[in-house]
Amino acid sequence: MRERKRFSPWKDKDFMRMLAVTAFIFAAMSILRPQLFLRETNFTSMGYQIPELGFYSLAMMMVMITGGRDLSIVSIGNLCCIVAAYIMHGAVEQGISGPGAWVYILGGIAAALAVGAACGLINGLVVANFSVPPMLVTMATSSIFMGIGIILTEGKTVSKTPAEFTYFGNHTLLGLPYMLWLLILTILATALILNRTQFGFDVRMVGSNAKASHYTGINVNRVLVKAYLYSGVVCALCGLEILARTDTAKSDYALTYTFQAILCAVLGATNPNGGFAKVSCMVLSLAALQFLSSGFNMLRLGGYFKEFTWGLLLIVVLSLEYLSQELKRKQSLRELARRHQKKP
Amino acid sequence: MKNIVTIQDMYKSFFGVVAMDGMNFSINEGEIRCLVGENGCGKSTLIKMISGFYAPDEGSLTINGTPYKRITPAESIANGIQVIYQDFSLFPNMTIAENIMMYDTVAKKRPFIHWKAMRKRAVETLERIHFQIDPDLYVSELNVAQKQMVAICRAIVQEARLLIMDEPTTALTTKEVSKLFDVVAALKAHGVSVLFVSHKLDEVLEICDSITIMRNGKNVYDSQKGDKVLSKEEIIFYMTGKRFSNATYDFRDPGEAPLMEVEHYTMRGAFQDVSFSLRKGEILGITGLLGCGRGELAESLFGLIPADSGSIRINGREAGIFRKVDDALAHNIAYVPEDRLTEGLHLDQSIADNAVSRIIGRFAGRTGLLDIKGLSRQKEESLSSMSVAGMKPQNPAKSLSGGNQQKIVLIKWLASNPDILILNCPTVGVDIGAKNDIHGIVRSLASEKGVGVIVISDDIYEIMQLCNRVLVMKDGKISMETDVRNTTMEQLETYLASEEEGGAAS
Amino acid sequence: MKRLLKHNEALLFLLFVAAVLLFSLVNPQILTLANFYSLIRSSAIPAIFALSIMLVMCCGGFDMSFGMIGAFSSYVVMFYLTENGKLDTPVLFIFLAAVCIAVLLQLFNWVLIDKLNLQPFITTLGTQSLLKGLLLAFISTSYIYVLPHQVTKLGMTYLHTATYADGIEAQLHVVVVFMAVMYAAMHLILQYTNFGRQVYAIGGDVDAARRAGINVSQVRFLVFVIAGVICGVGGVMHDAAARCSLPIPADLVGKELNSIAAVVLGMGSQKKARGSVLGTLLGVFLLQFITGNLIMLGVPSYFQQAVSGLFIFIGLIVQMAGSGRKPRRKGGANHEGA
Repeated sequence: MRERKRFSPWKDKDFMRMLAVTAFIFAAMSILRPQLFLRETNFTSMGYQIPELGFYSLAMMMVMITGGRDLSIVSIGNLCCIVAAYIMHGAVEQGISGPGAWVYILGGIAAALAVGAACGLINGLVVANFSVPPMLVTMATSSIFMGIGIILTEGKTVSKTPAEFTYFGNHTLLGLPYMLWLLILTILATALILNRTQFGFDVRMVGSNAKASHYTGINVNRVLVKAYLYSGVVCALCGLEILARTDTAKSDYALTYTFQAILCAVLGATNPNGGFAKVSCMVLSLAALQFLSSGFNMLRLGGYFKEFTWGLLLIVVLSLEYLSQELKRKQSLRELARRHQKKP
Repeated sequence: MKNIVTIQDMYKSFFGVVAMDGMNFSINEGEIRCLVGENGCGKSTLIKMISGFYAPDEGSLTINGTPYKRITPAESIANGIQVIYQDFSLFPNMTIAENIMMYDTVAKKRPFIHWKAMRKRAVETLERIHFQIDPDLYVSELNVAQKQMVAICRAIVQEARLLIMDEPTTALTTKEVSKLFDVVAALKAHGVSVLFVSHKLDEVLEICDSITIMRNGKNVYDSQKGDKVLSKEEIIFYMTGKRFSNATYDFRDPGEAPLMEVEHYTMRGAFQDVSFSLRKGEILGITGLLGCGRGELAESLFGLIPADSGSIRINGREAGIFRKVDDALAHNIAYVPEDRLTEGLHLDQSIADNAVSRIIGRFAGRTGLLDIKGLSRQKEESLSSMSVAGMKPQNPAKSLSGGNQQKIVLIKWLASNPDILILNCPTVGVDIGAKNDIHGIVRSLASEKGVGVIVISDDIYEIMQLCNRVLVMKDGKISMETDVRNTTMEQLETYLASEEEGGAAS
Repeated sequence: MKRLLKHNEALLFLLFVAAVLLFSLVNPQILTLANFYSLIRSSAIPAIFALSIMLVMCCGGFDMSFGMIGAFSSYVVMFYLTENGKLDTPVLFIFLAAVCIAVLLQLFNWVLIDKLNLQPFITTLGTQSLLKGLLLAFISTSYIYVLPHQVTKLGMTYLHTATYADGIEAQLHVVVVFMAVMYAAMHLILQYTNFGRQVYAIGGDVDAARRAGINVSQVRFLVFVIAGVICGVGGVMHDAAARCSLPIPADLVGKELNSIAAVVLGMGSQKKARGSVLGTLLGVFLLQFITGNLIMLGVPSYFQQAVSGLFIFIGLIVQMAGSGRKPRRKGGANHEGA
């Protein structure tokens, strides 16, 4: 309770604006398709769909705070998914179930997290130690990670993991899917990291001016590596979520998430130039995008229409940001002129 | 005598800050006029007005007899007005010849490039100012003095009538400055007018025919060619509107072991065999001309660039060479960098966050979570420790003026209660009021808290005001050490000027 | 020799020759005219598109939508003509129409990047998504296999035919002419025109360019127009060479990295750091040669992605490391002068 008072989201303009947008989309969809949109099954299915974009957006947001872009998130997620699938598939192949299968499952989870961390570490170390733009680094590593996934699978799909594992991808706890709980926990942890830890403070500082951070005694390289490490681990969580829900792993699954994650982060008040992000706004933008996506399905507007909308939305959001800043600037100029006229 | 530029009753303001408040100005053909004034007095606004980057809010601008409501950059260039900016505005990805001819290419609007003719003219222009260099070198390979010459060549390649030089000597050595002055004198002989903007009053007095002094966005003093030459003290009085006392910092040695002893500190190509000691409560000034190694020394003392050999002793204990910032921080050293905009502050972040960015780690508990209550208490405490006018803690640091920004940098470091404070050019771009405030703060830190302070500055006036002892660096070595009470500003300046010849001879 | 190695283009060329020789040690088939023809054929279209992004990068911009714009403009024209049975339309009109569409789309980018001052990378990623959705949701998703006659004819025009040892034929496709003309024209524009100087100037330092009296907005306008022309021509040539028109051709959309990597490889590192026409061409050929001939070396096809990624990764690091950050000023700004 105390924390809410301190951050006071109700006074935050970005938060209120995002809340209004989300509420508007929710209301619009409810009015357009009340018998479909407001049904419980819709909410359950949205609960299953949200985590993928959620994880990827969190990963993108953290890197965007440092002023970079991580274009390798989906490749990392898929690679982790493949590695976990291979290990867990061993249990099914040998016909092991029950407690024995859990050895494979935990092994798969650990391996996925390790792979995610390693990928993030590679990104982070290269970005921190060579002056190559993060965007190009992660574009190249994305190609490599995806290539490794293709080599592992020889371009095919891996499937069949123990039912004990896929259970978590397809069942609910207290009315919410297990994987949504995992996302919620990750979001809370991220909010805590960003707002209440030294790393969260430092990553904002590094994002807004790396040189000044260095001169202040902040270990810039360590902060950068940590940010990409976080991104890699969250991508691994996403890979596990995909595996648990779909029971398949593919090296080229859902590549468009990279763009959607950027959209979700930018819509959620993450500054693309680095230095600022608000987890609360990002959660709202995640919800807004999901409402929109589900609503489009109900309006029988397909995936292509969504792609169109996402592109349009991103451009509109960025343009509005620019226009509002221009407006502010003009206002202050006008005010100035008024003051100046009074003076003589 | 023909008037080239005349400005009358000009007003201009930005975001609530009046930059130009009834400015009058004129410059004649073949005149070298100096424009002096404190930082933020509107000098750069005036330049941008003449070169067409800002439109005036009110007032008239007459160039070569033609009145303009506002002038575009291209029109300004077409009128023979050339500005050499402090950063030279050269294109690093082009060769010297291409850079020299760039303005001409743009202005002539010919669709095609004649490489041979272009290169020939560039070479001719280089010869005109007797500057020998391979015209096919890329500008990113040049040093500052060479870039300056290229910028001058570019300005005179077209029939320049007025050359505006914005702080042209800040990055030059004395020898290079005298070479520059020769070039300027030669230009004048060709009938080119020069508007020379500088804060180095000795240079101003040496080169100018006439002078315009600005304060708070308007001219407070104008002289014409042949008028009585003002003394330096008079110029300072016009610039600041104040007379300054010559009180020096009174240092009483507590008689303990030295706080910091630097021995035989050496960095190849920057400084050699630097040794000095700093006592508790002492304010030690280090000065010297540009390129003498003072900046590198300052950065190496904070571990930003490691020295090659030598050692540092802190409180009598061996600390070796500082190889990274953490080494310096471990000994409780604070460092206020030279360029606060890129090195000192996170301009977009809030003032409060900037103030605690050094000590944020202290508020991390055993769980790694920050103590939010303690942190906000610290923010309040830190920010109330100095008078920063009109500041809101949650506003971004860029909303503050230069002087107040520097105070925030100081607040940031003082929160960590340093034993040693290194200030690298602490009052560059700071107005006189804030400058006095900052000097006061530094003095009381030294005298009351016993902090050892090292001030690195090229501003001898500042060194005399602030320090009790001064080291002069020459060619990477400490060439002189003296108590400020045993010397005067004039003596120091003469010494600095003379040392260059000595350096060249050796 | 040392002086020659300083030139990035010479270095790339040597690297290319070395790669060819090295590869041909394993499989002599690689060093045949026929294989060279197929290399040209596979490289020509990527090379044309790389030229478009190179120009944009030369003036300090960035573009992720060039492939999509090329595909979009060509597909829309082909779709309109086949739907309306106008298969006899002269090829010149087809090029013209595609170029017009592509130019308009690039001008959309120009408005966003120059007028609204938005981040080029994110914005053009938005344009890409927007166009993809626009095409698939509102225009058509069908593959067009019957192209206008003249386009088909263009796609089957060969300048020369060579045969591999095993009798398989490889032809020198006419697209190489388009590529060569565009590269030559771009070289002339950047090297010998006032406009070219101004493009480089803006890429070097925008503020300095403004101070030089350059109308930055206007120059960028032209840059995007030219980029649009290249995309339009490239899109039609792509469809002609592929002998079909797909809404989202996999070798154009999603493969932007390869073109960008080629431009970066072609850029001189460190001091020069400006886009080079010849360097870009060599970059494209080098990348295509290495990834395209892996199969001939006996490397399984599913290794291709990882190997090309790794190659680009190493190339980026070698080329860009150290160029962005200013060298630590050791010895003072002008110690030599003292």
